[in-house]
Amino acid sequence: MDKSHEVIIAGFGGQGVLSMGQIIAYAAMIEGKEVSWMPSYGPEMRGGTANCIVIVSPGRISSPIISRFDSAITLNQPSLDKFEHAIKPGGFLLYEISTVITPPTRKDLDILAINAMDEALKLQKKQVANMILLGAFLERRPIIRPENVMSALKKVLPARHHHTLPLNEQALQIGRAFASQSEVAASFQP
Amino acid sequence: MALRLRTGNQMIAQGAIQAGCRFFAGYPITPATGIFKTMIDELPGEGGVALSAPDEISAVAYCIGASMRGVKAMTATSGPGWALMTESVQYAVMTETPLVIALVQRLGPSTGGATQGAQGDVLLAEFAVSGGYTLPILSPSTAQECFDLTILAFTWSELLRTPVVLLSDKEVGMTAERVDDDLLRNVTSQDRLQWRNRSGGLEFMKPKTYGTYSFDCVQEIPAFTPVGGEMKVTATGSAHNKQGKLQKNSPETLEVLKHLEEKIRWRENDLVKVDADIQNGAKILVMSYGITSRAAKDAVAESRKRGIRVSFLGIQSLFPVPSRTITESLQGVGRVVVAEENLPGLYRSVIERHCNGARVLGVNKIGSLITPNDILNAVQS
Repeated sequence: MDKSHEVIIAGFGGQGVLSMGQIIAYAAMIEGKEVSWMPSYGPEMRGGTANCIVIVSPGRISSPIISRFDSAITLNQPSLDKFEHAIKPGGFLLYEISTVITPPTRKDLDILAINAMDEALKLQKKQVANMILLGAFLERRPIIRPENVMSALKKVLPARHHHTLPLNEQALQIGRAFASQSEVAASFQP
Repeated sequence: MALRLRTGNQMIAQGAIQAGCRFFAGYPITPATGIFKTMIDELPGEGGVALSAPDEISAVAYCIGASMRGVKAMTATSGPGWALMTESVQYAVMTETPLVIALVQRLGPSTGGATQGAQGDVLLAEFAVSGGYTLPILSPSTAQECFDLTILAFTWSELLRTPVVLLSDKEVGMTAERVDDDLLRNVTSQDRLQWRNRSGGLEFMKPKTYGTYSFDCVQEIPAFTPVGGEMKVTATGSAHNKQGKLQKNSPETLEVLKHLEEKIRWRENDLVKVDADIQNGAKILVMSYGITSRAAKDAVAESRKRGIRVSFLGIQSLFPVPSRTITESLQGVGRVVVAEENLPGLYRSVIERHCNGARVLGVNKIGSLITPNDILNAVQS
């Protein structure tokens, strides 16, 4: 990775949006990269909007404030509507499809939809939907090495939840497998 | 390299511990809670005391008590908590009690937007003291600066015997960045001058010469002795003489009131901390502070790429206003751009008079961060 990558991850509070960003940030830090993780969330309640901007860079990050992203991962319709148009042309949009009625329309993006909620329920743990999305994202945009994701997760996840690490790893693999089997849309012209 | 992912709030707590802060009392409030939590988690392990106070008024009062006993103390809050604290902050000014208050700004007025950033408390913090006494204010823009400036805040507060405000904001406080522990300066803060050290031991002192606030010239910082120690300390928030005794309008009392401001004013050229990147022949100077100064730095780099000669001045010591540094940065400058996350241009209104007639332009916004592009547009306009 010789240039910086800026990703926004957005959804409802409780979906693991901020954690996904933390995992990326930790993993990138393990690799010696500069990182910035900037959270933003709505009023003081569960179910409010939440997003975080993560910048991973080989060099110094002067400003964590940006308005155009290389990638976006969205976990609900409002986030998709809001951030689809904030992605740079040729960028990557990954979205969770079970919460979406109106799909994205841009033709100049690599767009991947995944039913992460369904896949997570198959594992009988809806909380790992974010890890499925993270797996899919990293398959398409390998900004950090997969082996560092699990080390990062150990840092982010409180010790009392460490028994779920194998399940999280499984979820990550499901996401990666899904993304590797999905074609980049034929209409996509970077 | 010892890398960690740390938020600005965590680095303020770490800086405080490194500075020798051994007392913390706070009341949780977004976006300052990270400081509260880190202090509660880590300070007891360092031999300090961290308390969850019943409210902000108690929190700052506990800190003043601890500091009067000789312990370096800090509290942390946001705008609504600061509003409650101001009475006691004035008491700390009046009683010359060292204290650091981390004020992590959020959107106001009132409870405003708990999870929205802003830079709207700049003047509310500075002008919180009746009579217009200077509260030194330091404003960090990165996690690393949170650490460095916290230590500096303790040094200033100890040496000046006055409360110092560490003015952060939601984005600086809650954004996590890579911090290399090996690069953190292994310094601690300086300590207040103790009365007993002044002439080599208390036993040689004549008690009659000691007053809680004794000074010979008005700029001098009185030597400290703790409440409950060997010397009698008299502290009051009311106008008092050098002994700390309540007095009305006596020449000595008025001298004490003048001293409270003069001890800071006289040293204002030593109380300067800026991030200056001056370019020869620049016609434009971009000034900012806190999180917005990072966008400003980006905008300056981009302007230079486009062939515009432009200087940058990130101001970390907001008050006392580094007027001499500002004036020096203005050589040949015809236009000044001041970017800050509030609508009226609060800090701009303060520094405008130091800008020697240069045209001063504000970049102001609330509700979302000022981007490098917003500032670039002002530079190019």
